[in-house]
Amino acid sequence: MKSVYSKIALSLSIVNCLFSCTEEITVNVAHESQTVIFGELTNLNDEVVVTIQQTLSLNASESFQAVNDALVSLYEKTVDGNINIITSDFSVNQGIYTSNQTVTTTIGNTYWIEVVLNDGTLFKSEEETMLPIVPISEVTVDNEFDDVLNVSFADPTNATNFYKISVLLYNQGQLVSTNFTESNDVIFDGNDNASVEVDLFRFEEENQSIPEYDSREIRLGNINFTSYQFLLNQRAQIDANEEAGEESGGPSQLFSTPPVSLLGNITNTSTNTTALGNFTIISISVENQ
Amino acid sequence: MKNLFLIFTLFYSLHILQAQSYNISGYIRDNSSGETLLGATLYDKQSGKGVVSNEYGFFSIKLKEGNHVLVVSYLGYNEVVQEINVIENMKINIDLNPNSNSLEEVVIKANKNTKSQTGNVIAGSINLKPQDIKKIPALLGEPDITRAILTQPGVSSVGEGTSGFNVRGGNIDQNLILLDEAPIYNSSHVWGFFSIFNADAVKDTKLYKGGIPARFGGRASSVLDIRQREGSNKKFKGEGGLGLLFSRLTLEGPIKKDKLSFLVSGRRSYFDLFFPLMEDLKNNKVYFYDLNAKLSWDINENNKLFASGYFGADVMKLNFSETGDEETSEDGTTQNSDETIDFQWKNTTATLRWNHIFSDKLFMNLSGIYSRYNYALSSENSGGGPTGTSATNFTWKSAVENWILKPDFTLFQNSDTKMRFGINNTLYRFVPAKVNGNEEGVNNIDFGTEKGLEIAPYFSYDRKWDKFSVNAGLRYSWFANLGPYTVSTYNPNLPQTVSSITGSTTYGKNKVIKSYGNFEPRLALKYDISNRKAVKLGYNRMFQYIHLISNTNAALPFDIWKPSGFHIKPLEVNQISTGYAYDTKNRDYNFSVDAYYKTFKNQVEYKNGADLFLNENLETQLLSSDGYSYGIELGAFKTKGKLTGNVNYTYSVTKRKTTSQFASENLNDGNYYPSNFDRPHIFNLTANYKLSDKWSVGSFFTYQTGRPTTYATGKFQVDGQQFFTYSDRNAYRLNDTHRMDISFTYTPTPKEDRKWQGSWVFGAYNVYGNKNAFSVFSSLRNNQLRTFQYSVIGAPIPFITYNFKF
Repeated sequence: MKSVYSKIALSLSIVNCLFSCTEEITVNVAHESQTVIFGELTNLNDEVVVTIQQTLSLNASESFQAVNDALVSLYEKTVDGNINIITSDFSVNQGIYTSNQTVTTTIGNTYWIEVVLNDGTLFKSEEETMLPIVPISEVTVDNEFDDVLNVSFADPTNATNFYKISVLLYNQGQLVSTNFTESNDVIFDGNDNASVEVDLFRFEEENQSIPEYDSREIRLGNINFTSYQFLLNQRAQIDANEEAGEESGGPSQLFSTPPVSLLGNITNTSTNTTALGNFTIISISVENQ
Repeated sequence: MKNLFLIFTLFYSLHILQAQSYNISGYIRDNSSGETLLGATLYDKQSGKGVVSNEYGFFSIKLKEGNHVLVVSYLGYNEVVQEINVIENMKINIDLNPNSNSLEEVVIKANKNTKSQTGNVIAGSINLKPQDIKKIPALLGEPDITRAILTQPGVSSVGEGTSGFNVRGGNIDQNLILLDEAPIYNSSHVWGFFSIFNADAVKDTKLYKGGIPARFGGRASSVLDIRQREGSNKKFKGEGGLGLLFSRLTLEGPIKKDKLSFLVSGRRSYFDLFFPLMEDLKNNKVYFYDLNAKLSWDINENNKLFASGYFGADVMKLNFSETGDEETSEDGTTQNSDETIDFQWKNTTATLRWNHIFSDKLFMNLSGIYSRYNYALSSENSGGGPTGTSATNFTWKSAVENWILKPDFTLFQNSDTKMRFGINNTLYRFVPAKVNGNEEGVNNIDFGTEKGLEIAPYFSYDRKWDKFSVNAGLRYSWFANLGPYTVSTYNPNLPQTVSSITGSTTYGKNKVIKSYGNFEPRLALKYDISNRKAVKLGYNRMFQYIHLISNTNAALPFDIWKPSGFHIKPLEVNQISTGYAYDTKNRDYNFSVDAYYKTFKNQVEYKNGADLFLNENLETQLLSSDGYSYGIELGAFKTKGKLTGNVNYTYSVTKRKTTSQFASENLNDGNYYPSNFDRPHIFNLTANYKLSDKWSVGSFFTYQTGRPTTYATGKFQVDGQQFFTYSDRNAYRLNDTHRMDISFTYTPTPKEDRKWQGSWVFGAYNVYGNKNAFSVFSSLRNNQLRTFQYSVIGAPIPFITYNFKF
């Protein structure tokens, strides 16, 4: 239904296309390097992966500036308030920190990470709860569009839930594509037959075809509100970037919202400001097809 | 209230003590149509005293016994000089004849006949007549009140094609827009390109941006008071216009001569007729229409009754045909899956007014008003089958409604003293969203109805001494957010998010959820240095209890209104202003300088990435902000001679900062940043030149500082995908903008034996095709940065319209 809303907003500017004009320009802006931290902790007994990087200026030829000398620690708080360090044993490769052991989590406990840069700056993620798993009941291909999946599940009653729905495509065991969408439960709150649509593949360019794959994994993740809000911002940037990629994307600017940096649940404790990135605690149910 | 009564009694007693003076009262009217004239000047030559007719055309003046010569004048009308012998209280109606050529002004006897600000106690008010509006070159030739307002000092907007306007640093929802006293919630057609007001049906437009009289309230920054014409009670008439994309027709006349008249005015766009010529648009329909209607009944000399209404709608029927996505039906045929979206938004108003003259000195207007803005969105998706079971549909409705009752009394104590008092009662009803559909797994949604009650008694006192004038007023506004409604409660130690909800409280029907009461003092002072020079000082406090929830560059038709309540505090605006007005000899030129300083408290702002879509806990997406605005406005008018027009310049600053107690929520780390519509320098020039009896030319030029914007400043990568990091909110500015519009009017000499009078208007909007930046946006693909500038109107837009009268 939200897509209809978006279509309307886009169509509002159709008439304007007759007189409007979009042209490519050059803008010079100052860049100040910032630290970006991304990561995810699941209930799937996997290794924990955290990516740490510095932002680059817009005109930089590189696309990724790794931070390889940080210390990463993962903490847990149990329901009775005990705090444990789960691991600070990470291997680093090009800014990607991978725990050397798999991590087992407990539903109801809270988790967070702390990252210390070599200059002593401490970043701490918000303490998020590992929420109950919401099982996928069915995944079907949309009748109308064969590149859209309907993921069905029973939305828990008496709770406000936020979901991250991911599609991972594999070919001969190799991951060839990932895509995700996010949803709150406003339109299906407590519904036994709740359903969310997710695109099989994210089309970045026109006439792009779906990559070859032989199996797919659908994940329904139950996430906390702050991480959901972060995903919304991430989605807004992805959509804006795709629209902006074409000169015809101009008219949608009339009804665009202010652009937002991807600030999530991580705080730079030295400056008490919110940092770029997010560490998501997510309980996942999986359907393999 | 007790004090008000005492003041009232005191002044009434003083009046009784005065002897040998009588009240002369009545209406000032257009002789050709019987239409009352508001703001007309009546001047007594003997005493040198003058009064101005009120917005209902009524005047009352106190004169001593004996012979008097009254001079009555009004812009665009021949002056009337009338001798009267005052021996008792008298009722006289004075009829003025329109000038055959409105450019040839009569000798000015009083300030009101020009754009002079020397006679107006209230600083920062602008009066626009339909003839002023029609002279301004218009987009596609359609005279537009909102665009005319934007030519005035102190008024700005985010940019072309956006709904509404911003006055002295106020958001668009801080303007009280009244059409025959009925509030209008969405004043735009086609998402902001055209205003809903049909200039043919409008009698008068007044914008209050500085001093706002106590009888107005409910919005914090300005009042745009638009009055519809009443229709001729003398003879049947018509006028209209035929344009390439719009047409309009107005009919008026007596139902019973001199007693009962009607006016009906309609307008319809038909630009969608050209859609079939364009591949992308051929299956779509987009149009709007308006209907204004008014009945005026002159019951007797003491009673008049008016019934007026407005109905206007924008209609969009969009068809998204998914060619290529075919489904085979049972009979073996294939069908394309189609999605149709039907979207309409409508304004409806109805006003019933009763003017009653209790005595020569006491005038009453009683208005009962209904206003509604609603939108409906329905979607149907065939699912690819002709009658397939996969077909889904839903409808979505939202509305805001007002019922208003407001008695308003004016006591004309004497020629120099006037009191006005009354009470505004408004019942609000907000329906944020009702969604019904047949899609499996999707619930029907009903966020319920929010209600609000606003009661606002007011009193104002106008007094003029020899050199000094005062307009002092006090308004008390009480607002209650009423049940039935369920309000979430939050952990006070955490930011308001759905995660910090600790419970909820349900309020029964008409139970007060939260109420607010505030005094709103208004004061305007004027000192006449001479009869051509005046200085002014004003102070206003305004409270606003309803808020437009919109986080997009341009307001959308499906933005919703939200009342103040448990979590959203009323907006408070305080403004001090000062002004200086100067007229040249003969008042050929009128100059004004106005300066103001304004503070805003509890403005609605939005969290970064706010999700306003179908959000029952909207307060979790909002932040409170404080702000300030200051500026200086210079204006010059020329209303006489072949060359007329105005030039104005505004320097202003508008900033705000969010005030959350949780630092992590605040935008720009809690520092001040410019509002989206902060444009420090605005220069406007409007000029009209009468080339000959048949030809005239009009032009408009504007130069404005570019609006603030937020730029991408850096990049990083996540899972192989590039993302931006952005500057502080509105840390940069777009390039300055400028535009020139021009129009030519050809009016053939009318034949004496024909009632039909026609004229051609043609010209161009944005005549030199300047590409004014509305926004700048960037994209990163394969690590390749591309930055674009978007201009809403990036080319000259020619127009031609044929206007007629009969």
